[in-house]
Amino acid sequence: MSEADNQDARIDELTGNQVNTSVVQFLLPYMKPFIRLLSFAIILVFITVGARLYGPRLLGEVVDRALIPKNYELLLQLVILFAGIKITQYLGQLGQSYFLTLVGQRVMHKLREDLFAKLIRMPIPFYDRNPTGRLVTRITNDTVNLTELFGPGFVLLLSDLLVIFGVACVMIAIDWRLGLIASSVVPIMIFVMQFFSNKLRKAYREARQSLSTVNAFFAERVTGMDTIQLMGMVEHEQKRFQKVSELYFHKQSASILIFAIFRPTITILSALSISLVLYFGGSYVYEGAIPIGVFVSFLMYVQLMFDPVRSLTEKYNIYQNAMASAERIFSILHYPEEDGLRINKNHRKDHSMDRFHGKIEFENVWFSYSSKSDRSSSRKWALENASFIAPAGKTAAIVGHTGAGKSTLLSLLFRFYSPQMGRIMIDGRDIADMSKLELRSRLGFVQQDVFIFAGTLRENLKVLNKSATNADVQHAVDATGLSKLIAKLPKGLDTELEERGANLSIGERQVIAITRVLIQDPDILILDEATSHIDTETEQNLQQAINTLTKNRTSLVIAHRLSTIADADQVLVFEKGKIVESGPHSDLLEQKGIYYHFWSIQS
Amino acid sequence: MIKAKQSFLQRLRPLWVFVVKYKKFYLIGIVALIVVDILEVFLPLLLKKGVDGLTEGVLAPNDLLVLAGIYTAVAIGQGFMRYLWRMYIVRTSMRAGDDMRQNLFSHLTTLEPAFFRKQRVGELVSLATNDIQSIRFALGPTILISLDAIFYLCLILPVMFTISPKLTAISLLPLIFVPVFTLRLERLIHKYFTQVQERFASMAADSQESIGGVRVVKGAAIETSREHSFNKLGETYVEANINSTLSHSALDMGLGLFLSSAITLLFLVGGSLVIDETVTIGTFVAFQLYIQKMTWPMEAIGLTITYLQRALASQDRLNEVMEKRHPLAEAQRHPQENSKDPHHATLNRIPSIRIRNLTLQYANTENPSLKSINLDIAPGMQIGIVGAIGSGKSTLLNCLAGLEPVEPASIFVEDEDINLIPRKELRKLIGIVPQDSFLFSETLLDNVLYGSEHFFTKSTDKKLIQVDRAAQLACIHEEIHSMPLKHKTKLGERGLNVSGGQKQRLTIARALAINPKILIFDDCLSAVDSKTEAKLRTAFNEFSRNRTFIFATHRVSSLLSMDEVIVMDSGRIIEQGDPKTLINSNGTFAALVQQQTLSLSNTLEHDVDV
Repeated sequence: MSEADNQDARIDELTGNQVNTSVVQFLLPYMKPFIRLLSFAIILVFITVGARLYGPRLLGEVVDRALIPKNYELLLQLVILFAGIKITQYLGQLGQSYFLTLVGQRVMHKLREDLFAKLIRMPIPFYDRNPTGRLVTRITNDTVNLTELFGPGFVLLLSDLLVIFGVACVMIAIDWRLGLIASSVVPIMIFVMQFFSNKLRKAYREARQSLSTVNAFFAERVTGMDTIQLMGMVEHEQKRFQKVSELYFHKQSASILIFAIFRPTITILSALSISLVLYFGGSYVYEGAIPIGVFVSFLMYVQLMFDPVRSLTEKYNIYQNAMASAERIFSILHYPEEDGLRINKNHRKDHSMDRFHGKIEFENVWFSYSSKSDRSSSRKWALENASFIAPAGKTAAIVGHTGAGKSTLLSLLFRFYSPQMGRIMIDGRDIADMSKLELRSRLGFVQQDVFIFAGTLRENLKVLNKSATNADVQHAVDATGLSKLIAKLPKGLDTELEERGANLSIGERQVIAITRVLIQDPDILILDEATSHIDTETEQNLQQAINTLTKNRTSLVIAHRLSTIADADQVLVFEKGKIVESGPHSDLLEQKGIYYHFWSIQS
Repeated sequence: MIKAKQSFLQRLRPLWVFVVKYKKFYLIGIVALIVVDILEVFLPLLLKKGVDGLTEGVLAPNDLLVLAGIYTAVAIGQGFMRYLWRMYIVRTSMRAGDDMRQNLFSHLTTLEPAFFRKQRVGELVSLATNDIQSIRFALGPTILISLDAIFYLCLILPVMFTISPKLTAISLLPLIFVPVFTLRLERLIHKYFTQVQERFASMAADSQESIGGVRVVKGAAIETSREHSFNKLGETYVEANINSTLSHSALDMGLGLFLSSAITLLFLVGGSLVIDETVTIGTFVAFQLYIQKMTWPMEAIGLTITYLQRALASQDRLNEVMEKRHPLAEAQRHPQENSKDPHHATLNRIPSIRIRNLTLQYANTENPSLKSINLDIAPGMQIGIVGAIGSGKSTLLNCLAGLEPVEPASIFVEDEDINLIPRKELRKLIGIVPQDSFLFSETLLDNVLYGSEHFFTKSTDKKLIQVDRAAQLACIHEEIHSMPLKHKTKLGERGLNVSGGQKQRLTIARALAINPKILIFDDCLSAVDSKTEAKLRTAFNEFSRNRTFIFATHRVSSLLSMDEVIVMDSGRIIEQGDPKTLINSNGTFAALVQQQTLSLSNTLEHDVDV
């Protein structure tokens, strides 16, 4: 559809093949506070690798200097040395793992905080284009992928490489000829690893994609199971699922096939290296060129050299995933957020805005959703030259068809968007000059879609006003008639509500929303009345709660109910972005215009 | 909580089924595994021979070449066997996973709507992926490592004992603690692992809420307080993560230390024995290699137990769903059993419907959803149903459509018990448009023809004729043609998103494409705006002609022209009759009509884009 959509699709499908230096640049500030811990961990890496490298050499020493000359005393000394080295090695490993985890987790935590802070401050259209689930994945899974790399992964990679090249160097240092022969397998090994890693990565990616197809198919079919059953398509869907599921099996098999060739190849290479040492090293011993102890330590070194291969192949995958995740995370962190939503520490409180009296004024307001650069005459105005005054403490009802501009009006009042022309004023002050946070906290909004947060009913009621006392809550609950519901709940106010309020009816959720706003105690009330899915009885219960709420408060009501409109102090009739009629209910009826027409349809 | 009484072996049964099913594959894999282990024990012996031969000076370079050749050849043989067990054990477990997924899906297709109302989709998806994955893990890698450990131990111990019983006993001493240690730490690891998962989930849930409810958050300017609550959860998650990683490190370190103390003992005791000339240097070296490989079987015991526990926990969750059966499901005859029944396929008339004393109660509910419903619907009748939310309208319609199994002899379609009519036949008779319209992320063409016999037609032209006909009746034809790819337009996340009203009209078109004899609308116009609804009403007359038409709605004004209206409350029919009589009788229906003609709610629709 739009350009932004395409861009977003791109963000999602990045594979991380390209090493992006800007990613590293971006991460550096996150790593900086931990530079000491990191360097300490790296020192520990060198110590442990050193200890590991010394083991085989020591065995050789034991053979040559203690066993063959039959020296008990030296044997004892060497054994104590060995034990000391091993203890150093494992303590070093534990310390290394502790520091790296600490750094990794802290970096991840900071990154997640920043991401979350960003993601709840994006401009409204951003959320329409990006499904919540996808954004949540950025916060959860992507940060985990990234830490795998920039926490332990990065340093362990260093450790693995140090072992491979360290072994080669040590062997060459001990006996250069045999050392070169034994490590001649290393280049082949690196080539083989590279070759299979690429293949594996591709196979894994295909398997993952195939798995998400299985998931998507499964989820959609489960959601629409009654449709499948009703339409008699069960067999058809079973066959299709069979195909999807079998495809995943085949993709999985493809990766296991590569693995089944790759792993044995590495073992064979390692055996080849041992055979080389066996033949050439053995020959040197036979010729008396090297002592038997060196031969023995070479046999051990070769085994050690092939140790890190397995973890190296895994790390390659981790690296790929981390890069892809990093790209996605940073594309979000770079996205321009809605401005004015961060608390400025210098002047925390806008003193000019203690409380509103509540007079709302729209002065020749023009607004269009299309971008500013679009200057063509065909520009579609969502709101065209809208002017009205809602006096303090009164109720204004807004009526009109879908797309007439009712919601746009609210969006502008909340400053989710700014008008292209005209002014919106509260108590005579342009809202564009106000702090967004202060403005919004003084507006109370009751939406059709009530959002229930996880937690107790009490927590949900206090979500808009954390400082509310229990007495405030009780007062509001009594006023809106929510106490009737509370009496039915097992633990009253402290009952845990289910995900998205699944254990509540739509009507009950609406009453909660109204009570919540009453506890917020806003200066101005904006109410989007619910319609279609509410039956008449629930509607009457709701009315009581709404009446409590609108009393002595400036209220803008998107009205669907007759009672609201008849009781309103003024009615604004919207059509195609314009206010076409306005005035008290009875006056409008007498005008016999559009408003009158709405009425006559009914009878 | 579930099946605590079942023994461990009984709980393993569902897994055993797959082992039996694929026994040939497993057999090949296990033989390969045994060969690998035999060769694995053989390799250090080759090195021992080399070292001993060299110390004694009896090995010439030619002998060494033979030795090295044998070593490489053995490793190649091992490599081939390892290839075999991966392909025959690990791959087979993937095959079993595929079977399990398909079984689960097929089973779900037999369950009734009540099940899906209670079950969250996310949980079922996780069952199909995570749980089946962990069960599969028991059938592949777990079988592998446990058998590998057993075979290896059985082979290596006799060999070591034969070479030097004393050395074997002494150097193995520290290693016998490994299984105990592993098990204990595994418990800790498991505890922290669960903690990490739980906290991860609550963190995910919290961000899901804040982002999903971002309009509330923004509208009330509570960004900072949401941030605080998220960060607090994040802190606890980090804490659990650190603990979890440390417990893993502790396991690694512990294993390393046990191994090192075994090797230290070997150095000391083995060294002395070499000096005493009780054992050779070659033996000393071979033992080094054996001991290094001994930690693996020890570790494997702990791993096997952990993996099995995970698999069984998953199996329990899977069983819970797989054992779900609707109590009345048996009453419905399987579609294929009598699909050749010519009776319905040739039925050209509109069938009559008789409902006799229909009662329906879901498990774990206090009141029945439907109570003693009696209703006769003559062929071609236009009947309206009203009632509050939860009054049983949708349940009744679902029963009529055969979606909800009912007691025998409670619903008759043209004198035949509805349970005995194959679903496929019922589809051709009854078309229902449900309250929540559901479309698949497929093309518009496939969505409209879904369930119709034309769905499987090869010719696109024929299909298009059918779609156009249905789309025109459902007033969605023009909109389909204004879409970029017309009928080929794909719905879904990346494709086109249609509005609620368009969705409902596409669903109507889908029901009409079957050309059913009985058409049921379950309050399916709620999102259609008034102008389009007016157009649809004109179309109603067209498509309700020569059909039985059942229409459930909140908007009573739509029902004034019906032949008959029934009013439902708490699962019962409380009023029944032609609309005019009902209005005059001053009952519930009359009250509803009066209320709604005063209300504007039918004509004014709300915007949803704030």
